[in-house]
Amino acid sequence: MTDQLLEIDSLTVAAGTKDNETTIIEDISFSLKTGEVLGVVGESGSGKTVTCRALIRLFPTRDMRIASGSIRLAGEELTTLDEREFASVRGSKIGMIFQNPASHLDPVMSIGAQLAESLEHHQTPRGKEARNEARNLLRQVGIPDPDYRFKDYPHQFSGGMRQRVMIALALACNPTVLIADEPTTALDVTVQAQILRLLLDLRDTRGLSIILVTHDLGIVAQTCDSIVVMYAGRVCERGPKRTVISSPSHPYTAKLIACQPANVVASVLPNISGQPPYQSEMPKGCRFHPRCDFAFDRCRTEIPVLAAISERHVAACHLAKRSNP
Amino acid sequence: MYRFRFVLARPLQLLPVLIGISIITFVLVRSIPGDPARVLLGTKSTPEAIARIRAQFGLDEPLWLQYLYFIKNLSKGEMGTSFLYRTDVLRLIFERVEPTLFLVLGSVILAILLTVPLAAFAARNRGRPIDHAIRLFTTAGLGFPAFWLGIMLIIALSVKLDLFPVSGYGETFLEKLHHLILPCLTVALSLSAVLTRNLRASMVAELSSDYATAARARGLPERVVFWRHVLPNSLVPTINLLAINISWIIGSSVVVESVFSLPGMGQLLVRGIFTRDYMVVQGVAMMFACASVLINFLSDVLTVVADPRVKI
Amino acid sequence: MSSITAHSEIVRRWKVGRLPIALIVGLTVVAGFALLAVCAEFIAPYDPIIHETSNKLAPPSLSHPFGTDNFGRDVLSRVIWGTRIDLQMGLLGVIFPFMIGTVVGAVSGYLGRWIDSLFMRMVDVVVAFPFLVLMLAIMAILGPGLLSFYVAMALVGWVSYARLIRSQVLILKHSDFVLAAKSLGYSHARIMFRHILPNALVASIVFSMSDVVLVILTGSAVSYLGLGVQPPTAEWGVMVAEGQNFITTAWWITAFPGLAIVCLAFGFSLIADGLGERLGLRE
Repeated sequence: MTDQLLEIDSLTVAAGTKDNETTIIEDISFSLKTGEVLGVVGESGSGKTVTCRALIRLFPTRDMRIASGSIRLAGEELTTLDEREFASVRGSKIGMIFQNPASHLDPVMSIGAQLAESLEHHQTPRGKEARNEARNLLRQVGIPDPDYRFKDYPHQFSGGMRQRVMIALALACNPTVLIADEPTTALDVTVQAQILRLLLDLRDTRGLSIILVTHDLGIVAQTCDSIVVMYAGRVCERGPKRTVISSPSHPYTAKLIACQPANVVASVLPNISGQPPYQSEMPKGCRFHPRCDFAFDRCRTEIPVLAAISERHVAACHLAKRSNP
Repeated sequence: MYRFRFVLARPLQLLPVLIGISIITFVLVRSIPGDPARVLLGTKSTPEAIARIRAQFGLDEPLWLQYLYFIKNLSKGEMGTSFLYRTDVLRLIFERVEPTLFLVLGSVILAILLTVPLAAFAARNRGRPIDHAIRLFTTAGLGFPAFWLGIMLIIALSVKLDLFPVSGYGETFLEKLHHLILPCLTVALSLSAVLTRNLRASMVAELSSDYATAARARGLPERVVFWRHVLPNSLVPTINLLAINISWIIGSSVVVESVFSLPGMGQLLVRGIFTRDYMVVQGVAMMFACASVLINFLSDVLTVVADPRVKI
Repeated sequence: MSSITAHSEIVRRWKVGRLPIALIVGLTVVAGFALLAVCAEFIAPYDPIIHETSNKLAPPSLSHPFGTDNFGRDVLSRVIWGTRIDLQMGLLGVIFPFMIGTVVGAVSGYLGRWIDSLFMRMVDVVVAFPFLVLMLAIMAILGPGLLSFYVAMALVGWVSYARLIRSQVLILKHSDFVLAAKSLGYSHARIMFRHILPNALVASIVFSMSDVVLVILTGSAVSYLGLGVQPPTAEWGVMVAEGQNFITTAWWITAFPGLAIVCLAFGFSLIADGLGERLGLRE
């Protein structure tokens, strides 16, 4: 297990008061190697974003907290760090880019100033040196004419360019792991491809490890090395990209793949019937069973555990072991 | 280019308001019962002076023509003569501008100095006792009468502690400053009650904004996130609120000038009312109205210049 | 009829659950002052007007909890009697602008076109003047007194209500339920009074509570300056003005009437806060 850079083990995040506690994500485990691109897939509300936020301990609401489980980065346990110690992790070890670059950039500060601020906080350069370094970063993420655009404000950039700025900002802290939370969802398809290309290039040049959160299996197929599929706050399948996509072992994964427009021959897009469950009314047993075509009695009572399908491929389904021994 | 045109076009939109202001002042003074010439000149007027003012203001002509005379006089910068001070009203006003200007400026600066830490403290401790305490102060502060607050400050800081002069205005700059501190504090305390509520609300909103989260995710400490990102973003609506409240600020400064006997425009207005020096009342009211229109206009322009996002 | 539907609109918006503390405290404070105002004769221990020259400028004591002024009058009794005037100023000073502003705003918003432009230009001009300056200028012409205060207040104060009602009416005019009423062929008057006004009024009623604060402050300020209520009538602003000559020797003459203003204003501010919160207009 020593070759793993980031290991997440049975991570559970809870919200609410002590007497009225709800778990948002439950028993999440996966790991990331240096230079690996890991795709986290799932519908909205499946807990992808909360999982990412737990890694940098910045939850969407104030009452969320890590209830149990561990996060180890290069062997160091992160969940036990206090707030002051954790400050050295945020940004400089684990960086994050967000879905909507327009709202995640300070609108009244020039992007050059925002970059210089991050650089000065994490590394030694000051003043002019920091500004030069900032220009370099802008060049690296493919902003044309960085000397000129340095003084521009976020609203003067296009969506794709803003996302490049966000990436540059994350790089300014020089992290080893980069979490990209739906980085291309708000962008045009052509721009999407450019941003994904940029992320892969950075993986190669800087040796970044990337967690790519998306609801789009197509993106995962293009860019990732391995996949984690999440449903209703739990991991339902995990494994190398090729294995999971070619022979999915969880019915949910199979349905997600079937819904990809590229895989559809008929004129009507198939969809997964029903809605993901609400936080307050989680079904007993397997959380997917109300929408599953193969559900039987055991699924309604017993929560399936992640079981090995092959060496690095696991799935949480009572049928999985039998279908692919 | 678009922005430039906006800055140029805006003053033209002010024209109807300025005309409206002149109509209101004209109607106000003409609705005083009695012979306008006598009213404007006071009781000790000579027949020659009455004849002169009848000609100057066209008082024997129909009302609409009188208004045109009024506008003609205004455009020449003639607002009439104060019968009490026996000088030109415009000159009288210009002599009184300085204390009022310093009072308003000083109050605004002091109010911002009070508001920013208070709002920051409340917003960063949202829901805790200190937040409730500050909220209580702002709710109570809305109802503090300026004239009473001024007197209380005089009793506490001038009479008991002898820190500041009780009233009046100095000769040198330092003396003036010393005399202005209490009046400014009086206006600023009430003003900061209004501003703190607003600034706290926008700070609370900005603290949970996406860019603040992103800044935290880059490892910037909360202190930096707050002062460098949240504060500048939440100040924009507060500056606008300040401009909207300029009419209220001028109102309090009129009262406060009377409390502290500051020789400013407000005191001129109040004395003018009691001595029935209507030329002065008319001139000062018009000046104050134009000032508040001008300040709102400047704030609009400033918002466009300062905040690059504002769409026109 | 519109008042009945306005009432039901408030009931509809009223969130269930415990009353906000702000509202309870505010109502208690205002009710207390109202009681003082109504029963001033019975509560006030001394006469507010008659001079008692033997007991001038006496500091607060058991027999005179708020002390006496330069004419030997009991400050507590004068504060209690002053409640009657100041509360009346706050209420009447709001009701007239409220009514004028509601009519102007409703007509302006509902009819639109040149009537709207005309009224809104008038609003622009009145707003251009600093509130107190215009009040003082009008009162300078009408002469001092409570009546001219109310007239000036009505002439100046209507603009806020007109703007508020107009903006609400504009929103409601295009709402689904008004379109439905129109398609049923209801008359303008019926749509206006049964459907639009009740909804639009909710925001102005909440605003009027905070407006009371402004009106009381203005009324007492005007009286302090000598243009409003005239001595020897007991009114808080007048009392502060009278006490100002004695700040070095008798702080109590100015302190207590001012505190009364602060408390009454605080009560109305709390009501405004609580109502706004409860009706979902704030926070």
